[in-house]
Amino acid sequence: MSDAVFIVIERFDGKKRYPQEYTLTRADVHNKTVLNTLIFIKEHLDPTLNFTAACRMAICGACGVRLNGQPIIACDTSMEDQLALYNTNKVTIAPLANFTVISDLVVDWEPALENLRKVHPSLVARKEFSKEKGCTQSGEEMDQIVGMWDCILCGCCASSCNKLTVNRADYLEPFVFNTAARMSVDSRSKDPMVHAKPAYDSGLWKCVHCQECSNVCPKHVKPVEGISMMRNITVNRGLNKGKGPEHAEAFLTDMRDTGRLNEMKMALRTEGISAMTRVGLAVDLLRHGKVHPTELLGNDPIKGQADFVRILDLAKADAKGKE
Amino acid sequence: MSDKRLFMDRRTFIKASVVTAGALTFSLGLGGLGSTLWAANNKPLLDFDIIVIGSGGAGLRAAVSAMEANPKARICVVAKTMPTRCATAMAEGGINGVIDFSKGDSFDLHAFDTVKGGDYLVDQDAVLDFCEEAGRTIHALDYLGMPFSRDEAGLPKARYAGGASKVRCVYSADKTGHIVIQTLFAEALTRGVKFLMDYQLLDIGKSNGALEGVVLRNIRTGEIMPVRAKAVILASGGYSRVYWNRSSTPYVATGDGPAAALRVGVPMKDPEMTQFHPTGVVHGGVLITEAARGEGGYLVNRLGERFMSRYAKDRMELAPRDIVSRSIESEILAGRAFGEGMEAYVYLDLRHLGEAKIDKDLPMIRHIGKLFEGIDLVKEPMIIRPTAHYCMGGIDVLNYHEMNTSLPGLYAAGEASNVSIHGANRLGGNSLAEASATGNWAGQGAAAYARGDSPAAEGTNLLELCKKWTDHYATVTARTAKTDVFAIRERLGEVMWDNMGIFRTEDNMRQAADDLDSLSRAYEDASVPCTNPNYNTLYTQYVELGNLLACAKAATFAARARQESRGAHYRTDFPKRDDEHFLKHSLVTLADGGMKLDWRDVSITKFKPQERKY
Amino acid sequence: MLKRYAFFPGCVLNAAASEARTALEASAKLLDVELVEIPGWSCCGASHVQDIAPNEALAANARNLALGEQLGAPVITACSTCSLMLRTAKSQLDQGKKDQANQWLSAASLEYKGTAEVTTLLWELAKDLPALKAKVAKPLTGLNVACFYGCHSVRPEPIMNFESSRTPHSLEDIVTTLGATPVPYPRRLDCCGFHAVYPAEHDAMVMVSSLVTDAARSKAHCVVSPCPLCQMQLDMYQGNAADVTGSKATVPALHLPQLLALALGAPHDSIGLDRLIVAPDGLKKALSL
Repeated sequence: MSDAVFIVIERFDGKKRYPQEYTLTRADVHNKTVLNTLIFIKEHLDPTLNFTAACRMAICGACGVRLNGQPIIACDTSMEDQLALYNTNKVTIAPLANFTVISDLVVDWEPALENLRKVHPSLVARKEFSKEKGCTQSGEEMDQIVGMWDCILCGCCASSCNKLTVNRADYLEPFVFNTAARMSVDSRSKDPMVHAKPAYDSGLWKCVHCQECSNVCPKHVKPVEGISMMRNITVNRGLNKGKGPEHAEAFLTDMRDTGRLNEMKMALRTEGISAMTRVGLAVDLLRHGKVHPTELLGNDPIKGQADFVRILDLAKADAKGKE
Repeated sequence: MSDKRLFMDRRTFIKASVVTAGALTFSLGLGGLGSTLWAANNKPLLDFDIIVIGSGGAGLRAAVSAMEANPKARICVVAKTMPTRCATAMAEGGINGVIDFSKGDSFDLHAFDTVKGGDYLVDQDAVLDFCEEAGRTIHALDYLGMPFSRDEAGLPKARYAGGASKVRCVYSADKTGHIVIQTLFAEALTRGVKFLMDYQLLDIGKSNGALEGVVLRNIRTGEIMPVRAKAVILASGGYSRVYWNRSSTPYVATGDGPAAALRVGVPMKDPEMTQFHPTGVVHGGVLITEAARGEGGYLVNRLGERFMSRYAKDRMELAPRDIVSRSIESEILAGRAFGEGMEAYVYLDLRHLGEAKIDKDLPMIRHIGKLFEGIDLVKEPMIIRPTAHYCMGGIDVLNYHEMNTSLPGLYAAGEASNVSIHGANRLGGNSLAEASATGNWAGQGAAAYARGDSPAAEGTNLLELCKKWTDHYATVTARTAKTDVFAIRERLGEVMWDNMGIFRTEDNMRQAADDLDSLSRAYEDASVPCTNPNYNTLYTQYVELGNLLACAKAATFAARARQESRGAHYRTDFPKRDDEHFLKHSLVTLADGGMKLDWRDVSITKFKPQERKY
Repeated sequence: MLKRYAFFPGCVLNAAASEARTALEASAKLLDVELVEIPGWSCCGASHVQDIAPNEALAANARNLALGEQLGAPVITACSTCSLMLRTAKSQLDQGKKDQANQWLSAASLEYKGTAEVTTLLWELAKDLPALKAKVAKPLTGLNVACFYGCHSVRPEPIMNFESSRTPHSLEDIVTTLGATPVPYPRRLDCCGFHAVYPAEHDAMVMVSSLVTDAARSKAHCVVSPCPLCQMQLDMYQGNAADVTGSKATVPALHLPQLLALALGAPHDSIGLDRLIVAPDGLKKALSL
């Protein structure tokens, strides 16, 4: 194996973007985290390199970067492990995606702060609690939310979010949804809608369920589950109109009807009359035999449908107890 | 202006005129402080009622507290980077606060523990109020949404912390600090606290004996600007980074507040009191929480002994930090440890706690063990050594009810401040409590002060300082000298660890003072070879290093003057505590190109100083 | 592959993506594998029911798994979202929800025992490439394929637990074994937008367009996906997507079972190539069909 290690960094000097390659040796990166490698480069090779770091122990969230396209916490990631993972002696480090880059690996957190404000991140406690006496909460109730509080606002989830990549303007970062969710389901909360409603207003139903956020989170937080919880909460509290909720309802209706989906009916239920305007698509679907007109009449129920519905009813009754 | 004007070239003259014109614009009195003041280049000068420097626990608490006291006040929090990147986030063990009085605990007892833990250098009038405030803080944080670990009654659960005679360290797994900062940040955001993010404090301006405001550098653009304020709260954290990488603290905590305070004539109090936390990883200084010992971990030497029995028979591993740190270093000096030199260490053995307990209550340290040392502490003993962790010393606060300093309008809170609550040694769990309590008091104090008119409305000093810093940036980035910032910084860490560390003597400290002077000279000549003003972190770090040097010198100066051992300050040439001569706070002020030392009596009310044994 | 599986087709394999089922059944025959359809299986919830009625979704999948267990063979799926839903349900059941779910299932005299394993066509093929190679009758030589994993075949990694979610290679390995050539496809792990095509239509179209453009840039004759939802998205909406972004690229999207069937020797007019909306002319030319 060659002794040289090449670290390519996507730089930005305020005006233009350009890659810069630094040559190190294996010894230079031995037992070093990615952060320590960046520090090494700054202290020994190029003092103009800019990045943010604070705690060095993956609790402050300052050093999120992308390595070969994947967001990581630099201080928590072994450089040698990354070289082994990609079976290479050359890697590229870039700033987090879906943030505006200020310089090199430094990104702008101001818009994210404003998004956090939108979901009212602080608790609004139930009436029986007070500032003087505090609150009570059981160990089980605390366990429900404890994972969601592991979020250190590192931005890795936002970097890998497929929806944010396409359009940030009508959406929130996954960590914002997580913040809203943990307050929505906190047993001490007076009203989950304080947090879930603004999430709903800012793209809650636009999540594509790509699982990137939960998969990439260095702290094992699962924002996509928080999104799912808040969809449940908002639908149960009457925000059940619109394509997102209606599409989900259509699935449930079909399930309870015949056990399986009927795509033609589903499209109509979700989009209403505007489905008819998808002339091109509908004609194409029919022409290619993808759907038969008869499907509008519905499919046969599955074997055991009646029992299936009984099972669903029992499950639903249990859920009611928790709301 | 003096004869110097005769020697100015045309360009400098024009610059000076601009500055003077700006000053004239100020003094023409464009209305009260509510109006926007304009500089001669027609850009509005920022203007607030209250500025908070630092966005950690104390800074955020101060901002919200000020808003509550005065909802109309124009407040902003200045942070060098995204606000939650701070030392508060790193605290692990818990937050002290008495909420359970059923087992004999009380505010008085918490106060006594704190006073004794601080080796009687604690101001007792302040500490009693502090302990009450700490108890209130627990419930207040709960009400804000902080998720505590819970007991069977559904109340925040507590565990032992070092030096505590009762169980009162309330916690959230082993990441209480992270939870605290997220809770306070959520509150600040919800309340509408404004942030100036990616801004660095350069200096404080004063005139007519009162505060004008601050000079800030916009790190993103490099712009250096005067910011007027009626009140400023310094909550910039500690200066343990004078030990550079043998410290547990974050890169951003570089004593900016204390150094700036020194430059406007405000003293540092007890700067020599720097705490070494007993358990840091060997490679680097990252912390292993006190909770590891609170949950039952053992400290073991090379001979397999639980050596704390030699130094603190009753409390053992849960003796206060200074005692445990000295014990470990003593074992190293006595040859009963593993390794050598900077690689020496002892064991922290947690295996007997079992995997389930460790994963539930101490998950983070298991991860730290693997990342930094390649050790799974469920299966093997963890290797540790003391690390510089906290500064009891800080900006001299006069009246703890307001957290004010000797400069009217200037306040301090959190680790940057010194009331003194912790005296010569801080107990585990008291720092998060301090951040909240002192932040609250400072916010109220500043809010009350900012209701009045500022006697320093002119801002002339701010403009002068802006010019000084603007020139400074141009000069240092153009310089091509030999020593660089990083070499000076590394050397600072070595000098301080070797000569102002856990064991101190006059000879070592004199050497440290000399070395610090050489380093300061090298610093004045160092080059900062990055001219791009766009987020120039090299310049940011250069400025920070200057602040660390100032704090290091003040600490060394006071350490030499305090000829006794007390708390974290241990001298092998004066190994005993000397209440007769040194039951006093040291006060270091900059004067005549050097430093001046004064003393102030400690407030002793309830607890008569006794020998400190555990 | 094993000799026998409890087959969970999922809803779209029965309807809009029935060509995938046809190709899969043809492949199974040629591989000498028995796919026994789980009697009375229901929709898996497709992540949508999970959002609004999580208990009911769990109940439905507990039932699916219980029914699968009765067949005494691993449950195999050929839709990535189905596999994610079933594996997530199994994870929840095995980590504490089993007793509660069995209370619900008792209404139909069913019981989830925990013996069911949930696997996918992709993984079963990838587990024994030499065995697959031995059955390849008509290697797809000269065919350039963009291998598209989509989201749910690899993420979240702790649930799917088969290969790295960042550097997976099962699909490329299979395509190579079938004789074709995987081309570089940087967006192979991106999302196709299927699950939000209604509430976030514009965004989904941009996603589709990016995926197609990327494949065209690599000169792929087709994109292949192990998930019929991804295939449907890339196929059905390719035209719409191009309208939204103005892209001129077109690349047909095939189901993994279709490529598989072709390579195993199934007649090319028997595997539903004519049901593709974006006609696979390039592919037919490359393979001289």
